[in-house]
Amino acid sequence: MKEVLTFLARRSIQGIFVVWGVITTVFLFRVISPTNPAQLMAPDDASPELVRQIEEDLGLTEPIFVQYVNYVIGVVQGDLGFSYMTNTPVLRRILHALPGTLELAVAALLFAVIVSIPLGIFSAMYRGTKIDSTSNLVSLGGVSTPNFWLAIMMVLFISVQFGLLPTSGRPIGLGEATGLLVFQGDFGGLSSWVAHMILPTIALGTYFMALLFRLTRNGVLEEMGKEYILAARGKGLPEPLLMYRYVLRNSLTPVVTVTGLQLGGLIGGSVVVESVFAWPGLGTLFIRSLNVSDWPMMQGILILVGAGYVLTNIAVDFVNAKLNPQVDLA
Amino acid sequence: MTPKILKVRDLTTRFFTDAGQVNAVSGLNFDLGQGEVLAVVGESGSGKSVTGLSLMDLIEAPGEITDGEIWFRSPQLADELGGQKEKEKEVVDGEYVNVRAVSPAIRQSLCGTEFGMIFQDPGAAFNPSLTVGEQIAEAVECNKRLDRGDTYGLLDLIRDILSPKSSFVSSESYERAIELLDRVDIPDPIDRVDEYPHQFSGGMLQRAMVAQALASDPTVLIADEPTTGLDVTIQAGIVDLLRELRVETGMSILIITHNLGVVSEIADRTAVMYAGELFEVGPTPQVFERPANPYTDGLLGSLPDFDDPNARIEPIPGNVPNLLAHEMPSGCSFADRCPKATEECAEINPPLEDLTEGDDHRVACLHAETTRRVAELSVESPIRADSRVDSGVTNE
Repeated sequence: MKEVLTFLARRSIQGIFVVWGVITTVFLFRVISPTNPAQLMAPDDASPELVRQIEEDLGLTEPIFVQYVNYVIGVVQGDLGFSYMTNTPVLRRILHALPGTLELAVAALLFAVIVSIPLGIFSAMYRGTKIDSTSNLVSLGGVSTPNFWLAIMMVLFISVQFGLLPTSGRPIGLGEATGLLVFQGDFGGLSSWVAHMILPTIALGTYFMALLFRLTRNGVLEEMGKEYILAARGKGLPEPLLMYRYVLRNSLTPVVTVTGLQLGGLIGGSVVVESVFAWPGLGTLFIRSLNVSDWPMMQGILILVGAGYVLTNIAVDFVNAKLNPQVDLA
Repeated sequence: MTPKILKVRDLTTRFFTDAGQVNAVSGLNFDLGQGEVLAVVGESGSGKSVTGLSLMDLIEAPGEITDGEIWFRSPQLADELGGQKEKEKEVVDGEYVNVRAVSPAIRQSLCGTEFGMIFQDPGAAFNPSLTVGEQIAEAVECNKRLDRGDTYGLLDLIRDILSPKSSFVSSESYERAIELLDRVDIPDPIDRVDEYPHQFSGGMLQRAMVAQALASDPTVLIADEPTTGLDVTIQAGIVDLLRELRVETGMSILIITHNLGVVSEIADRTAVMYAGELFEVGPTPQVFERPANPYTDGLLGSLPDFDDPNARIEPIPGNVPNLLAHEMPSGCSFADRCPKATEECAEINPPLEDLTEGDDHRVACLHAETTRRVAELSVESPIRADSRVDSGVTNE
């Protein structure tokens, strides 16, 4: 227990430095960016005085170091500044877009894990059979299919041609939908949520599914050739226990690592998939801010992505240490 | 004479690889007596380990036991199976049961309860992510469950994973694991039981391996190179331990090794294997002192002689032949390297036959003094008989 606490403490301190690095880098990007936000915000026919006035309001006339210190102090206090475009607090906008992205990220990852791991084990157990070659082919397709193309094709066939699922949008969040179900006994919200989730989830998750499938299959195959598997068979260990405690457990390390890193990446939102499905998540928000040089918004999102990576990395190391006693937490 | 616990007949194991069929073990015949230690010796690649794995039914694809019978003495099981009329002849013979013909479930349960195996590399034969104690306790638990005839399916596994109270290994099995670790002289077994394999030294891990094999209280212990890769002092410790255990439990041990020193110390009988075939079987002193097969002779000649440090070490020229079926010589597989080889040797693959001096000493060599050969010679022309006299062996 003490070991775990020191691990968490040390990694958190390291993580803070990483996030600080992210904040600084992102801030420097803004500094070297050639566009002047004040110019963009002002009407086309604005006088130089007005632009100057806006710059002053935004605090852009202060020395860069002062701007930096002010920004870092703000971030520490939980203040990410105001959006240049909408003049609303960045944090509020991010928190508004975050659930959509998180729901999609978690759903895509769950989809990938639930499909790929059993399939990978199955494929390895029946190596060389039709099941194996078929899943291999499918996973090759999955790894090499660009997700925007898959998304567009699914919308084209499933939504437009057959009208089975909605094409885009996110009319209701999981929280609201559950609320409806619990307090009003209304299934409509939840079914709408599910219907809108399916296509984006598949579009986003297929690549990870294929990737994790290959990692699982190779890992399981490698483990099954180990001598301790023979030894375990020799002592009469039941096959399910053998597969779980000997094969799967030892082959999961790369799977856990990749899953964690992917989740870290997904927290920032998938720009492409969210765009195709007009999904109101962080990816969409980021693209919109980028188009109008809304620096405080972009900075906020990037800091969140950095923090997400740090957190998932800590979680990955923790889980791997639990899986493999040779990995020391310290 | 002690009753035989194991009678192996025509055991043949082949590997079907991309390069072709590999005849790893070809028509092996040998017996293992109750409480006896039989050593299987031979160079690397002679099929010793595959023999051990075949007995344990641990041959995995692309390998397969293609032929042969393994008769195991178990009056109780023979009784149970004797009632089933169909195929009875193949399965039961008196007190013996052919473990190759019984159902896979019985086969597996025999492996977990009557046969134990010590693996060559203890570092690789333990799962690195489970504690040593847990793995030994698993073996104890498997033995108990197989004795009771319990099955363990996917649903049991899911229950054990989900419920913190239920687990495969019971606390009694865990206690037993500690006792076993104590039995194989691992210091502080109560502490070490919770350690992982990487925290053990090689010698300690080999002791733990022995403990795991003992978990099922086996009738037959198969020890595959139990001393390879260990320090000489630690080797001696393991050999002493095996010797003690054999006296204590009365189990039979099949020890697979290329260390002839270990053989002379522990084995009652020695079987010499070459290219997947038995070349010579006999009581250890006789095999060592009067080797009847030129290969055994060569094997012994390649050892340093401590009585005469200046004596030359004579390695056997050449290498073990490739065991690919289409590249195997049709006659004796040792003919290419054998100093006594004649043209006949390249054509006829000699069967394993009794040696004239008796005492259960058998050899597969055209030039050996087998009973059949002596009988033949006595009716053949005197010239042939003379040539035998030339080679220094008398015929009376």
